[in-house]
Amino acid sequence: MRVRSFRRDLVIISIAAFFVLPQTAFAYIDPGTGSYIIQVILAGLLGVIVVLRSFWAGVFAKIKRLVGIKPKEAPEEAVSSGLDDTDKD
Amino acid sequence: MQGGLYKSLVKEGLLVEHEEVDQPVHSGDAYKIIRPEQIRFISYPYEWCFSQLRDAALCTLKAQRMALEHDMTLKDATAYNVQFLESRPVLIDTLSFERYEEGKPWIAYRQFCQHFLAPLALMAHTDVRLNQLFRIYIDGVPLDLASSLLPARTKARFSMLTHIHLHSGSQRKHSQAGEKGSMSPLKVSKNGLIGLIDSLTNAIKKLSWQPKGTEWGDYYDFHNYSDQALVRKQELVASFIKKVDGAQACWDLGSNTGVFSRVAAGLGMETMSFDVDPAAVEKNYRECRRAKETHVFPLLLDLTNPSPSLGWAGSERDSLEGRGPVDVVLSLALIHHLAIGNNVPLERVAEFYARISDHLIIEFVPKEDSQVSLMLTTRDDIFDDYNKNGFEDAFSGHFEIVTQEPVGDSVRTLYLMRRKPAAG
Repeated sequence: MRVRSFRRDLVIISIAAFFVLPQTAFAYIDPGTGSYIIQVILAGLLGVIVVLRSFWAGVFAKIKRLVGIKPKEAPEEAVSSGLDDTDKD
Repeated sequence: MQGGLYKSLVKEGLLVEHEEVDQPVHSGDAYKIIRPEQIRFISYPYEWCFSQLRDAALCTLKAQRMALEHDMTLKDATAYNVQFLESRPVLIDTLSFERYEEGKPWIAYRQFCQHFLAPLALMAHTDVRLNQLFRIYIDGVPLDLASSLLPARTKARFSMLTHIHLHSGSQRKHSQAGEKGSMSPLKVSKNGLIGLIDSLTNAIKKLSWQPKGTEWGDYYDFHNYSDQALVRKQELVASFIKKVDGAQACWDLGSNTGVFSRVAAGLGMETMSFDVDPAAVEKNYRECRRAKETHVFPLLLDLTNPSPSLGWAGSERDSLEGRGPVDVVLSLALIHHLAIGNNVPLERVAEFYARISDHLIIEFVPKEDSQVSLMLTTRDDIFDDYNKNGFEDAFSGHFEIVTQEPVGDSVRTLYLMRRKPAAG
């Protein structure tokens, strides 16, 4: 993951060059568009990772089944332990 | 509701329950009327400690993630849509959920970054007191401000770089209106949204703050009482509380980590445990989460400058006083900080306490006490009326002294007082 995130960082930083240019701020006129744009970019990148992650998870599950290892219950996505050790029980 | 989202959210303890109510509909446009479960005491993000805000953030993200699974999404991600029920964060804005349309971005993303990610990042990386910025900025911390206050090293972290620094830069660059028209063909896929939510979740989880090294965080390691004396004081406070009939709600002022709040809670009272020190509140809250506490809830409060009314026309967020009065106020080991440490005349303290409480359990700490004599070494002693008689005189203007007892192993006295009905 470290290599992928480094590459990812490089991509982000180069795109960032377009955006982090000093300019007078009139955010009260339209604060929405900037947020929209960054979200589109980020979601685009992160969405690819989500797809890749589930693809590889599927591949590993298949391999494990072939090799005879009992497949683990697919772990819930990162969000599941949102409230750490104190979910309502 | 049919889709199952409501049930799942309530089951996970993420959303406040409500029931549908049949009442005459006043407006012809009303679709349904719902009565949500009432939260006893409304609190605001500028009164929360680090972990309270963090838990509220994770609650919001978890709810959004769940919503997406049911083809719905949250319209808002404001910290004011989260309240705490029995020490757990819950969303209270049931109406914030709307149908998800594939391709549309998460409209609440900016708000989430301003209400949760930015203040938490500032608390973790710059100073834990920066959640007070909520009192100035009604819609969370502006991202350009967060970006300028965060240390430069945060730019090396992917989550901080993207969701705060670049986000802020993007906002500044595209702040002239009129660009939106050309943006509509840009879509956000569902996987992209999921990736975004996961990224935000990881960002929040990575933020941490340890409560130590603040002025009052380690109080109970260095205080005046021997263990035995502490237990006896707890018993004394408990006996006083029992003398108040029908009391249900309590505010423990200057509660530190909530030792005496738990005494009140043990007697069945719902207790708000206030303190000025973020580390003390944090420790208190962590203990509440660990013990799944239902009757104690800690909050930040500076009594010399309590939460005011805020928002449009000063009426969107209620002042502390507006959320009272309460049955019982505990003011233990506190009066000397107000009267001597902060020069508040005793009459003024009495007057304020009378506005917020019906009964008062208050500990008078005289000049002979070691803590007070320490305070007086660095101040001129201009407090001529600061003694037992002066104290009783000042408070008799607003309260009737029901009973008093010396606090064992100290020179302090504990009083139980009842507010006098307003004159005339």
